[in-house]
Amino acid sequence: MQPEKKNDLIKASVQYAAVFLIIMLLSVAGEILVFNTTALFHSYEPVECTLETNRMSVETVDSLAQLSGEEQKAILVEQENKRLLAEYNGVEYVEELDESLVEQDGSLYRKVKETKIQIELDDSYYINKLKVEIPLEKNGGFSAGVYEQGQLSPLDYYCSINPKLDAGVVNIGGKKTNGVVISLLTEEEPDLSALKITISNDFALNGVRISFFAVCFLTIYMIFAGGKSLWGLMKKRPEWFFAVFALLFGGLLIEGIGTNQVSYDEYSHAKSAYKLSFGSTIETTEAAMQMVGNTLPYFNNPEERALVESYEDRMNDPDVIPPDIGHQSRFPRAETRVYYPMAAGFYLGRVLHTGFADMVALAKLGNLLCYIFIVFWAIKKARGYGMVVAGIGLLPNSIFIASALSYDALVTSCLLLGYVLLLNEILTPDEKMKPGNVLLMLLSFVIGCLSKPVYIIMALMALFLPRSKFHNRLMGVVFKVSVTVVAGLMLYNIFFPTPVAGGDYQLVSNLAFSGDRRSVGTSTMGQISYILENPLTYTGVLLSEMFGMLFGYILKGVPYVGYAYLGTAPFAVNWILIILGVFAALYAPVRKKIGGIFEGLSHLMNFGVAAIVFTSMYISFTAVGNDRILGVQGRYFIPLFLPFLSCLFGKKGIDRLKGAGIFREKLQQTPGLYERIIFGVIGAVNLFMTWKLVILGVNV
Amino acid sequence: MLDNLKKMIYKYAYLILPICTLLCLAGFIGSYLFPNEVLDTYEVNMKEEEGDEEFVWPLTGAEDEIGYVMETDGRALKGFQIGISKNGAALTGTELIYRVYGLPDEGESMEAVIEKLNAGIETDGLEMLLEKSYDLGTCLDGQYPYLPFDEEGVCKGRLYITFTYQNNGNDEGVLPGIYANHHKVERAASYREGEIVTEMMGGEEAPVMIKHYYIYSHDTYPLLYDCRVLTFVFLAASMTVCYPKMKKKKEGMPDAA
Repeated sequence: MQPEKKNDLIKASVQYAAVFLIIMLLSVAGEILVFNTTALFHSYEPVECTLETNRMSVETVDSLAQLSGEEQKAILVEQENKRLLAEYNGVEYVEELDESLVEQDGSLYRKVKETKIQIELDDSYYINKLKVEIPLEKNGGFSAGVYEQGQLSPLDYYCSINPKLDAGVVNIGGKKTNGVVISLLTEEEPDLSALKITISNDFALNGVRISFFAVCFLTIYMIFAGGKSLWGLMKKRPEWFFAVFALLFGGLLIEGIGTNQVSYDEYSHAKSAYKLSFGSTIETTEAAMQMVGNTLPYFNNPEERALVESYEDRMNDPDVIPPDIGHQSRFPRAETRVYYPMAAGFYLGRVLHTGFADMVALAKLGNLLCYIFIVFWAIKKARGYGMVVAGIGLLPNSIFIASALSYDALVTSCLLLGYVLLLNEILTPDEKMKPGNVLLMLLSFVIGCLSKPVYIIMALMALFLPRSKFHNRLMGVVFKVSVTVVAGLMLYNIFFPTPVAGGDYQLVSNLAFSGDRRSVGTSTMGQISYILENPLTYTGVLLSEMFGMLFGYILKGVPYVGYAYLGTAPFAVNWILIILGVFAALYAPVRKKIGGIFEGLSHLMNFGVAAIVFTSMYISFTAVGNDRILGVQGRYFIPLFLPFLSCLFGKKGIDRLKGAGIFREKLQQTPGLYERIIFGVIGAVNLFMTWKLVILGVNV
Repeated sequence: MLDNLKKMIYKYAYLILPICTLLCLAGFIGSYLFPNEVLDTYEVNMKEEEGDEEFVWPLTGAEDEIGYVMETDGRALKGFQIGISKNGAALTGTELIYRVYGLPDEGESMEAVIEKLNAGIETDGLEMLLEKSYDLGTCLDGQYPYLPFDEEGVCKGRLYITFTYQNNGNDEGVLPGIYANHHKVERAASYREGEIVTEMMGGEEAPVMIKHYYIYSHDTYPLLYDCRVLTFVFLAASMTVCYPKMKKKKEGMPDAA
């Protein structure tokens, strides 16, 4: 190596090491200043209260607790499923209500014991955490309030107590108080002799929060202070920056969410991925059994997380509870293979003997890495519009599902890659198609559609490629027929699947009984018959639902950007991302427009796919004859963003606006400005959501 | 190296892609003709009713058999899973011996057969369909190991399955046992030394039932879907290759682009 180059390399290494060190120091400082200020100045030995310490007065009375809407719906769904099963088995169904429930004014209530606890402290304390420990057989919970300057605050601090943990911890937020009031609700008579309440304000550095600050500072550095060489690289190789940002944002989610199952039907994906990580004999530990049954305890703060993870490790130990043995085919079905990235993580976790939570994190990481790898290639292959693809790839919804147990990440990423390759062909009408690209394109579409075949319609855009793309007319015809057959076969499999494996073989194979078991009144055949008998009524329902959802997201304030059940970003974020998408497409360095015909076809294809998505949910998830379509989520349309935005490529009409042309010039002249705007805005949105929903939600 | 490989693939794409198309077509036909057998696990008696608790039914000796009468659902039973208690011991070398007998089918209902067998069941005179053993040292305490039957599928119809053990010199002095409860299973009954055992539960006499799963099987076509889709994917890709003949033709044309 030349001495000059060696010196430059040393200089750059020292510079980046210094940046890393400064970022780490700032992150720790942020953690102390934001989360540990009161503990820094007002820390004390935790105060423990039991009946023996005589610090609290306790009284238990009978009470009723109203069930949440979700709990009431779950009971209805369970009853409906029992009724269906009875009908299938040809036995009479008798509706029964749990003895612990009472129906009043159309609502369900649970009979509970309310224990009122009053704690008087000798002195004023800054309370950060309030921990209630009591052995329970069934779920319980408590609400707490504190005395501030002699006044009792409302009992606003709520915490559930999972009988698997026998404890619950709530964050009081460092309030100064000399008394606490707790209302403890339990289904059974509580054993008050074992009741223990701990008040604390410990100084505790938290790895998740420090990592969050570090990612924030690193992002700020890359966008605002990276320098010409870094920004030049960002312009030249945006796929690498996408990979770094996706790994950072996704890694934060994996680390911050832990084993809380907050993604869409995560337990069901966990089941498939966990099973796939074995050969023909599956050994399901008790912890895994609870994961796939969605009965693992949740945590809301780091203290509860420690309790949950310790419980999971105990339940994952085969010497404590022997694993359950099941069987499966050595050859997994096509739809199941989409879980390989996650299954690899589960397998690795088992081989490395990690804790249960770490094994789940590895499974999620497998999904994230696979997602990053595919989108990386989509950006790399995109001819001039890589940043549009990067923006779609970094959407909070996309990063969230890629960092969870879900096959949707593979759907989004493969469809992105497939459509990028197709779009390249559309943008170059005079170039012959290359067999490698075509094979990769079709394989991407097929893999992306394994679990959601309706998107295969997107591949049908290839039918409109001009004659000039092929070596002769016959080859063009055979190509187009083959693509049509591929799409047809994938759609055919929805209605006539190859036999499934497992104990639910007969029920699932029976179309008369099929329908989504999470929703009441569904029947695939029943709904299809209804649509065929009432085509006009259904068309009305379909159009009103489709346009209702569209206007909801762009005009009526319905939030779109979200982390599933953790929550959504404010409505303004919808528009920030719409503007960002339009900006990315209009200013993408694409020389050619896709052309009027393909513009029209893209919109038609988007409309068609959206209509099929709505219809599939009407058939599988909605009760027969309903005038609404249930279960359609905005994230289902992420794969359609690229076809939509591609219609804006190369349109320079906006430059006629005052200053717009100068802005385009500025974008071209300033190193990496176009890329930094996109990465910066999308990074800020991701970090804002992670802060709000993950850090403040479950890590404080 | 990767570039060289890429170049070679591109060079021979005119051969590779059509061959892949044919291979997928062959795979599609083969997959259809030779299905894959998959084991299905059916939970039969694994949960206790309210007021009931699981307990261990110990195997006390080679002569002391725990038995189970059942009727298959028309398919051959491929195996059984029962809960093994080792009372904390390793029981290496100790074998669980299980035998399957065919019960005569004289056209009466299974309920009537069980009613008839309430008086007791003798294995003498019954046709033994199979006898196998399972090393108890290989399963965990409290686990439900898979006890495979035969591959040919002779265990079909009305069956009497017995379990006993052989310690094979293991001197840990601990008896293995089978998990049981008092749940009623339709058209099935559990026996101890050929007799139905009842115990008091909630003021009523309830028969003891071993906790278990049935293992059946069915055929799947795991590569059928892939092969039929991939056949057309490769065919489509084959249609974008510039085949040597076409190349020659183009080269021969002076005005070719």
